[in-house]
Amino acid sequence: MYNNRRGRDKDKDKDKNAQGGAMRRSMFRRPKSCPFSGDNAPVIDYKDLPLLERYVSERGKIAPSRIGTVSQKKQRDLANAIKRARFLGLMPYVVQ
Amino acid sequence: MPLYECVVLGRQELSSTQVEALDVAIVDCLTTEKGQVLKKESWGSRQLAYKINKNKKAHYLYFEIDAPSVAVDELNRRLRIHDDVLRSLFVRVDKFIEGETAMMKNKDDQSRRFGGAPRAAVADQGYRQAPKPVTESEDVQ
Repeated sequence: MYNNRRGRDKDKDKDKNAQGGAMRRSMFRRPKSCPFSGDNAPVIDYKDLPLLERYVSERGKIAPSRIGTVSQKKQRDLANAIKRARFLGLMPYVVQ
Repeated sequence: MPLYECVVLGRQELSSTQVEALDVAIVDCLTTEKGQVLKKESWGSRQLAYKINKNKKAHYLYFEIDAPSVAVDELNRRLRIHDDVLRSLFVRVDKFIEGETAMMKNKDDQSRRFGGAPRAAVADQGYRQAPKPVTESEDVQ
């Protein structure tokens, strides 16, 4: 899943002209937009499980913001909501 | 007075009368400290995502409260001592989300397994879609 991309994205800014450069330019870049910003965006709420589950991996980990294209601000809210849901036993900390 | 959301988890063995008693105790505690309960919801007995004190299930009670912080502190203290309460969470909010909570709207989802097939199916539709309105089917209790 998203783990495969991790290494590649991390040095995105550092070594633009290093080995991966050509490949990256050919990759299609979708314009980023935060699903929680703008009009009639869903409210981030620890009680809304179907919503939160979309930002969690199959292992139960919180997905990085670049996967969900969530803005920094909303990602913090989202992470907070997921942690609250976990505390209440609504979502798992880990899925074995 | 500040607004709070409060979720209380009751032990799985509690009977419905005991849950009711717990409910009354919570409301009483708040009203004696000049607080108000604006909305109450019972999410019923739900499967826990992981065991808490050997409980696989818990009774969920939800309150929307308008109360001074003293009242909330006192209630929190009592709930932590209470034997029938597994866990409680207080969240201060600026305003409540109107209508019934997402938990009541998505009530028939609770049979779903975490990380199972239905979740993967949702992921395929991309992250940007709003949650689907839940059609009414039989209640899973």
